[in-house]
Amino acid sequence: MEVLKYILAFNSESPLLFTQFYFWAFLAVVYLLFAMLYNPSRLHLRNVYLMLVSWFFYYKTSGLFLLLLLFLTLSNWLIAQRIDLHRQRRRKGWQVFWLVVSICIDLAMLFYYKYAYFGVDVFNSIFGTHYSIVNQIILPVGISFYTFQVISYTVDVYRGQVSPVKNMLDFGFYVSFFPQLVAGPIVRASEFVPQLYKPFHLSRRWFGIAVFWILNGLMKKIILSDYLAVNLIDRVFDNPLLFTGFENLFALFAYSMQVYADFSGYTDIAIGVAMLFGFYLPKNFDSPYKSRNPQEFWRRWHQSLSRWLKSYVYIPLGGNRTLFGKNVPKLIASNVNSFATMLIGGLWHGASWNFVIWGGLNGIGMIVNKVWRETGWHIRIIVMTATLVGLIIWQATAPCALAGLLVVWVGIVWVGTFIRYIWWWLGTVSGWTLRGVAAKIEQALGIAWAVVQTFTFITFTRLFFRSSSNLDPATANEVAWETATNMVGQIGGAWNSSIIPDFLYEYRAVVILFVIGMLIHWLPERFKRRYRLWFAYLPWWLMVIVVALAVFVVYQFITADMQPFIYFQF
Amino acid sequence: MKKLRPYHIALFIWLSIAVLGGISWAWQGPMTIGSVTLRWKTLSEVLGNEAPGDTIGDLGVLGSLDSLDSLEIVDTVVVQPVVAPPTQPVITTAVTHNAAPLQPFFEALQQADRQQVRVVHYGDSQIEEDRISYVLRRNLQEAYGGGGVGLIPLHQTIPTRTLEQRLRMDGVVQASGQGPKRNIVYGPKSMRREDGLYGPMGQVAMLTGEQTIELQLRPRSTKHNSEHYFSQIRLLADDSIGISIGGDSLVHSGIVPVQDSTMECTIRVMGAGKVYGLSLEQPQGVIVDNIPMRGSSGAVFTQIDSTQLSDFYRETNTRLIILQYGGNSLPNMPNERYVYGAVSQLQKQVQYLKRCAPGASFLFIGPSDMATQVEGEMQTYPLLPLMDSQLRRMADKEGIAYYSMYHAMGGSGSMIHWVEVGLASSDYVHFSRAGADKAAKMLWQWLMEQKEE
Repeated sequence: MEVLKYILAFNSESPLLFTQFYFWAFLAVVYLLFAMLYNPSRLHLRNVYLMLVSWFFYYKTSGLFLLLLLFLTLSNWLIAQRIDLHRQRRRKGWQVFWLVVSICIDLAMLFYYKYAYFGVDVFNSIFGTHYSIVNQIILPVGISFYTFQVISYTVDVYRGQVSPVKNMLDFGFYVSFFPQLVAGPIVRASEFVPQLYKPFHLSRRWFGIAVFWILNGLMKKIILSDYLAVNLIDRVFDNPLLFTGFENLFALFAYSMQVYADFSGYTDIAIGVAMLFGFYLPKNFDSPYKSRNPQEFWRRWHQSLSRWLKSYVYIPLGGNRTLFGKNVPKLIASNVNSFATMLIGGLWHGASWNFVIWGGLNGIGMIVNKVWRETGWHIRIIVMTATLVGLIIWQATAPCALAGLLVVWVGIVWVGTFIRYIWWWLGTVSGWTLRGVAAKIEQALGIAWAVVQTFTFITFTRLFFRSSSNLDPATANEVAWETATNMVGQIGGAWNSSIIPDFLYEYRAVVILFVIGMLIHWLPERFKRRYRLWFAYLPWWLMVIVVALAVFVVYQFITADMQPFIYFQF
Repeated sequence: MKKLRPYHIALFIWLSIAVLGGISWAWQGPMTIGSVTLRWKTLSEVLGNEAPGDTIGDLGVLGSLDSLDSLEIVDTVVVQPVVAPPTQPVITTAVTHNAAPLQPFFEALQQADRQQVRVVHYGDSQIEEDRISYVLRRNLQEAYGGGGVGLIPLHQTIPTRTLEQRLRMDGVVQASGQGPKRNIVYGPKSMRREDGLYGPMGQVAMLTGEQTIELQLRPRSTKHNSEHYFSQIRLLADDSIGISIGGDSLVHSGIVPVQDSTMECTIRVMGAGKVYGLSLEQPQGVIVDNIPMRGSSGAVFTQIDSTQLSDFYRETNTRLIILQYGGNSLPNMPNERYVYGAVSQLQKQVQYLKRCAPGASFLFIGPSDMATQVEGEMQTYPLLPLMDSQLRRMADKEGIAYYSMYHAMGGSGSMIHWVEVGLASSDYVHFSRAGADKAAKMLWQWLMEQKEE
């Protein structure tokens, strides 16, 4: 009886996560029944089965918040029907009315569960009041994802980009399909709904690819994310002052990889599991740290969210044409609207100011880079030199860690800019250009320079990305701000290079994993595609052995002894 | 392209599970190859022990974050005498706190309106950044008067939450890895000295006199409290060292008055010799020194010159010495014998300090709960309860007060909960700032309750 209760009842202590044994046992059983029930002529049965399974999955993950998911499913399905009906009758006003009602309902739920504390905090700050939320509001798992998913559906129906789903159960399946329910990707109806009416299709090759994504995701999540986090990153972020500047800097870069490995690992698993059921989810990450500028980063990072924000925030705001409904120059419209979109994107990631700051920094980075790329070389070197001189004066007159850090950073960028300026100038004066291998090396160096700069910029924005979810917004802000300040303080001031060899040796496991992770990340895509295909075509028995071996290796990292605490600075 | 049917995939999944099950069937337990230990679950573990989330031992008493406020603290437990030989673990089940030996300190507080009453708080990294001491200081100064943060080193290599120190040598701000040469009693061998002249902070800065040295002090936060205001600076240094505050004339060692009570000042330090520290204080009231010793097990005091310690404790009317150690040695202890060894070492430190500060009361704060990963599950270090009970026993034997941080937190497994609710760091060893405040408030509440009684 206890075992049955453990299996079936919701337990907040053990939610169904991809990294737990229980999930894979659940998947094995669900798949076995799926295989037994599957009949190409009765696709509806398959869809209903997977929907019920997904509801159970959500119940196990979030308990009675399943009712919220069902409510949003029902309301959006019904309203989309109404919108479609009015469109057929050409009643624009009613279409808009129902669209507004639907979005209000969706956002009200999201705001209540995710932003209530933040809203009260902001209200109190502005009006000097002391309101507080009496009853504790628990954040339902995945609400940010499925709310955005249903909004996209209703808006697409309004825009006439998709036909409304006739059958409510099919729609329920689309909203709640368990692999992507709690952490994305955010699937647009137009990408997923047509698959509901197609029979199961999975080639041998795609099966191999699915298994590859699952193993790839598991390894990313457990080894590159969790192991690194537990053994170094969390410690540094929790108590930056216990560590020197170099340790803080290393942890910050490692955190950049951890965030990527964690999130992309989870969606890799989601994509792989969905493929096993014959459903194809959109790719969500495309080696984002290969990006050469912040815009490209956001095209490669959390792609389903970026596309969502572009379609449902950036373009409605006016895109690159209008600002507040008025025609303005393209440069102003696109920059202001993309900055606003980044702020909203930041807030989507977490309900506190630090996430808004994070979004804002990304927005500023995008705008500055956009303007920079359209600036001539003479202006560039003048601006860089002036900035560097200004920072040096700042550091000399009112020294502080931030100024010191910026002097070093801008100094490095200045050196790179200066070399490129001289290169450009020589080329312009002599009309001489490189050819063949030399040209390729020149191009590769240029790309590497841009990639490193972008990676560094994105990494430093992550100072504001980290916040404990169990804190109220005011505390979360305070903790995030304090962490960022302390880390900058240590990186910019408490640098002790004599400890670097000791650190690298003592934390060699963490350092090696980080380096390997980054090297794999930076491998050329064609090479990655090749080894994915090589894996996909392995004989099935060998693939079974590889799976067992991979799980065994992953388990070693789960159960590995923790890195002992070592102090280098006294 | 060959198409697969769902049953092919189901077969693949179950076959993979069967292979993994086969490994479990054949697995005999952890396997060590060189320095690597391979782990896997045996079949019986897979079948019989799969309920996750059950690793928090007696956390029932803790329940939730809110319940910490109303945590009942028992202090009337008689510790069981050790009847087994030292090699056997002796774990008393109800080891908690004992405040009776603090009575002289409580009485001394009543005179704080007329003179200084000093509290010296030594500890490991758990009290870095002025953690815990800061709450005690603020509360004591609010209740009995006084001001200033107490002792500070010349070069602040580890920032604190209360005071920002900036050391300039020839006008250049010194980072933590720079600055004057320092000797530290709890540091690596290369940083130690043989004559034991470390001073009461356990660290000394060596000035050559060749550079101009300036120390800038200002509050870390914009909210100012008693600890930020000081009206005199006590210089602990060789006679050859002198300081000048805000351009005033040079003063060699002793107490240097500051014109008007202030929160910030710039001190010029001149001469060649040893600087043991400076104390920012008021002439009356309570002073609480925060002296963290990163990575220390606490067995270092006997290496400090006893005359230096005695002089300092006597001259500054030190009435309470708090020692907060015990956590750093635990991760490296293979068995109980090491616990007894560590406690014995600490006992020697207590005896030594008691001789140096005969007028002071002593409070030993035991290690907080600490957890580590065993077979993928977090759990309290197995020897921690024994360490706690033995420290309490040692404290009783030496007639000093004892406060079990481990029990105050909620006992075995409580650190896991503290991490979950943001009160402790993910290393399962250190408190977060909020956690340190929580622990300090619990300690303060306990102290005041004992005082009332």
